[in-house]
Amino acid sequence: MNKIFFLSIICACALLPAAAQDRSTVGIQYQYALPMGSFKNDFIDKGSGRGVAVDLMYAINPKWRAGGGFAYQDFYQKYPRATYKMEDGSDLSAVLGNNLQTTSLMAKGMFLPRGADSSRLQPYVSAGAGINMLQYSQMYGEFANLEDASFKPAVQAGVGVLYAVGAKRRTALSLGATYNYMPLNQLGVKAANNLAVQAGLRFTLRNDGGRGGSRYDDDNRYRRPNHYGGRNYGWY
Amino acid sequence: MNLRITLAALALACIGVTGCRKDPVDALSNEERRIYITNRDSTVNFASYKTFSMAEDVVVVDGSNGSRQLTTADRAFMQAFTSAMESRGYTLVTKSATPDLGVQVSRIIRTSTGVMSVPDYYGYWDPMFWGPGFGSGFGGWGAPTFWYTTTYQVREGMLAVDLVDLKNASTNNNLRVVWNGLIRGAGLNDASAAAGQAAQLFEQSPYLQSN
Repeated sequence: MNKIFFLSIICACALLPAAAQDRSTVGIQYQYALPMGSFKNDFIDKGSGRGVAVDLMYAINPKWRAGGGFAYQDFYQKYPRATYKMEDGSDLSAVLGNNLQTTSLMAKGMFLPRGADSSRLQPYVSAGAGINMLQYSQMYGEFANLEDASFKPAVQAGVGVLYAVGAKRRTALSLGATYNYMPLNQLGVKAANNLAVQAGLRFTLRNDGGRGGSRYDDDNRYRRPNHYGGRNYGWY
Repeated sequence: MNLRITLAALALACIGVTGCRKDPVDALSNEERRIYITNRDSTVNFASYKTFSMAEDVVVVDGSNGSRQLTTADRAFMQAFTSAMESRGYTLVTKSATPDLGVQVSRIIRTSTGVMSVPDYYGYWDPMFWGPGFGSGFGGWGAPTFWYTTTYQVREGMLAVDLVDLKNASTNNNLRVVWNGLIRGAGLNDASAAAGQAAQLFEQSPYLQSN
């Protein structure tokens, strides 16, 4: 289901108007997420290195970008064998396995305070809100005690830096952290909140129409700040 | 970056990462996959029993059919339970020596059957689609007779051990089970793992003491 979800979003990106592509960037980031709050205390306290975040952002002006993104994270932890008292009075000894996957789809905004200058290093802050699919299960050994999924709203806020590479600056290295607030209210866990540390790349999309170069190049492109695209100065 | 290349790379990356989900069962060893359940008659004082006797073989309950067997693994489990009882101070005696407790090992095979129904969705098809007059001329669709329901079966083995109160059988006028241990999961036919499995059942039953 996750794969269909991802592919649908990517196909939607492909339908972007050609004019928007030159002012759009795609970011893909590996993320390592650390459970927080009741998620950490009551369900899984181990960090997860199985995550990815992808977004598509459109530059409204040199400092502000808007767009959307999706992210996936797989959390799993097994706890050493322990004995649990069951409701019928019996004692159950098992290795407890908790696992939860989050797949979120969010509308996002990004602010680059130094966006109008030509520095290669650009700090940013971001925020997002959207829907989150949480798939969770609790296993006693190989036997599922509970297995379910639910859709809940989610919000996030992040900070980070972009560092443009290459002469044309159409690609940037990205490093940041995002706090995800993800309500759950299942299995005694109020929310699957987590802090995701992210590293990846951000690419400026180029619409070459199969002919090479942008159809929207013009004589003024070199006079614009780097955030208005063009071959020499890309969005990143 | 070219849009098509970007999107293709993104698609591959996302599919790759989501495929990395940790399977909660594959992440477990055979020992970790097993669960142990114990239950007891809370009115019983287990220190009042001093001796026990083992049944001569293992009862196999497969659905509604019962039989008896004694495989290498069965012998290993019976020996393991004997040792566990002796470690708690109970003395093994023969059946003729009027033991206080009887120990019976059983293998339970449970077959779960599920039925998946396929609704008659053919009635929603347009009989005219495949040619004018075709469907109406024959009175609509003939739904296939081969696929209204399909079934699946899952067979699961469990190993159970019961302590039967022989000491008070006459007073109670029945053979009362005063303790039950149940093992579910992988490795129930593994003779080399029998001692560890018996030990786990007794570890979570500290009240099983003759003194």
